[in-house]
Amino acid sequence: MRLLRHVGSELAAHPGRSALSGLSLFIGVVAIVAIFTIGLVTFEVFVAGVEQQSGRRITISTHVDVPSRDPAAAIAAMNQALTPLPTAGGGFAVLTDAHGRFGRPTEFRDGSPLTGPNVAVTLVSGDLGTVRRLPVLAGGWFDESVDYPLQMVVNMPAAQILGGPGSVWLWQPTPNSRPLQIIVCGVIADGSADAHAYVPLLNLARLHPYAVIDAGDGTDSSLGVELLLHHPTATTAALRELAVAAAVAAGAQAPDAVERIDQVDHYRDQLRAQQTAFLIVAVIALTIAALGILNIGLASVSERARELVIRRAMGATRTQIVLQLLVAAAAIGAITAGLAVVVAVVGVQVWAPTLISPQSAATPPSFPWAAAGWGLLASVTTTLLGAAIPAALAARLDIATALRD
Amino acid sequence: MTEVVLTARALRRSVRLPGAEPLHILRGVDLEVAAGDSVAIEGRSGSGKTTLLAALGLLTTIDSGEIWVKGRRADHLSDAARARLRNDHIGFVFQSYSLIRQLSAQSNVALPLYYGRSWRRDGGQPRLRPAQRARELLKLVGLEGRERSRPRHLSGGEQQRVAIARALVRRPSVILADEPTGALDVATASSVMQVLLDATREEGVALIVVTHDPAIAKRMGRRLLLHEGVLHDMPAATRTTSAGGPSAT
Repeated sequence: MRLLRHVGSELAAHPGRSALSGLSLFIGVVAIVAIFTIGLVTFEVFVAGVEQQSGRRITISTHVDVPSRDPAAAIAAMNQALTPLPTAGGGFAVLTDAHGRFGRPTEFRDGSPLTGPNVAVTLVSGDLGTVRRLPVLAGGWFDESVDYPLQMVVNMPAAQILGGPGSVWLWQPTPNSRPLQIIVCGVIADGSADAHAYVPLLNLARLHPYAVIDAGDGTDSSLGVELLLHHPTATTAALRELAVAAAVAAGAQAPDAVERIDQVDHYRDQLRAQQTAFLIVAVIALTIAALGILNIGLASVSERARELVIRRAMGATRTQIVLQLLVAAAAIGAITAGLAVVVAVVGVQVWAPTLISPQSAATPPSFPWAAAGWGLLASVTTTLLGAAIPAALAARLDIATALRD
Repeated sequence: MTEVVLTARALRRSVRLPGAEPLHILRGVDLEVAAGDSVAIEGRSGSGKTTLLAALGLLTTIDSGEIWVKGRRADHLSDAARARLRNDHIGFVFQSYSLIRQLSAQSNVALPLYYGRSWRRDGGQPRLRPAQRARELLKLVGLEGRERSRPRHLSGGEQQRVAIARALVRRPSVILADEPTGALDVATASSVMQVLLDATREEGVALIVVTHDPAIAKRMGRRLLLHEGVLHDMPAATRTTSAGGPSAT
């Protein structure tokens, strides 16, 4: 209680110094958090973009020519062969491109091709959202267990043309095929500036196998598909084995070329230099804040020393003097550090998400507690040092001599 | 019988200057001060008056001898114990006031109450509430209404009155005043000295004043001369202007 009175008296006696120390500490902590957050956001945006375009870390790709006599059965067999992958925390997708002419249900006249917007279409089986980072902006991915009505997921540019979830269109998988009714079920961010739609391959194969064969990148006897396999910790060799097993299960030849297509490690290496730069800036910010706090403490050593000597003459012991200053400094540190952390948390929650484009696959960063912790530790230590130096000097002085001087 | 509050026996203190012989400032000082006594210590500049006062106030160490405060030997105590004893029994008034400029007059006066072990209850005395006690003493020294003033807003005489109030706040046994009027003009010095004498009389506190000024010294009950490191009764010829008083040590 008495110590608290000392601290109150100390803070009241030096409001300017207390405020400046607190401000330096506050700026130090907030700057550290801000710099780290910007670093995290930048890193996340780069990595997310790469994962959005070419797949999450450890994704392989291969081309498989599936026999076309029963594409639905072949695709289902591939899916079955790849089932262990999602069970183990990975994912796969079977892709092939298709024709993308759309039209309003009212404009179709029997036999005439649709004249509506032309949007690139990819036929997809599996879980493309697991393989590539494709955040869902509205609605959701299609359900491959539901064949009718046919559904599709569109990216943002396509959503501007075709509309959002619930929009109904006619779609011609091939220029000469009969149009199918198709409903937009979700909007995703795929990082592409061009309009793009994703249609369930398996359902289309079940409903209109010839449409798939005609649409796919194949010949009359085969359907060419791209097989994407992802697992965060698997080896490329293990994924290659699975790809071969899936191709064989579908009755296709084992693929010749299987390559890793994700770019995450490559970009991480490049970003390491940038992360180091952010770390250096953070350390510089912290050092400047620390020097500011120390300077405030040292600038007033002689004035403080006289004041503290007077306190000793009035009966304060050395321990009381040192404790009084250290606890006062710690109180300033605790109050401003708490305030700084609150401001930093709010900033990270409110401000950091605004740095990320809505179409980006990047997720807002979580609060960098470790950085804030180091910032707090360094700042509070410096504040204590700034207070301890005059206290130590005053404690060593001969009172009579100091008062005479 | 009046209680002896401060005793010094054969105090010796010297300083060692670089490249010179030790300078013996105190060469065996004896002094006994009882409750309610007022003592003037006079002497030439450099005679060691301030050093003696610092030694008596436990602000500095001595080479040999004994210091007793309220019956307790104090010269060999630890720094913390000396600080507590100082806080409990000794008040100080310095020539340069030594107020903390960031604190108000009231906070300066209350300062000693925040240190020491028993500021809540001073023995059998009524409870000492710092703010209340500080206001009480500021009123006693004629500074009622100036409680919130900072030292820079007070005149020299007013600052010294704040220092006197601070010296009295713990109800000390003795007040040690080092040239308390040295920085003041004659009229203000006389008024401040009167405040100091009245306040110490009111509170029943012994007073030791180090001074150059015979006009100040003559208002004290006893006058001593520090000469060549030893205290002497003031020679009669010098005391012709004195108001007189007991001269025995």
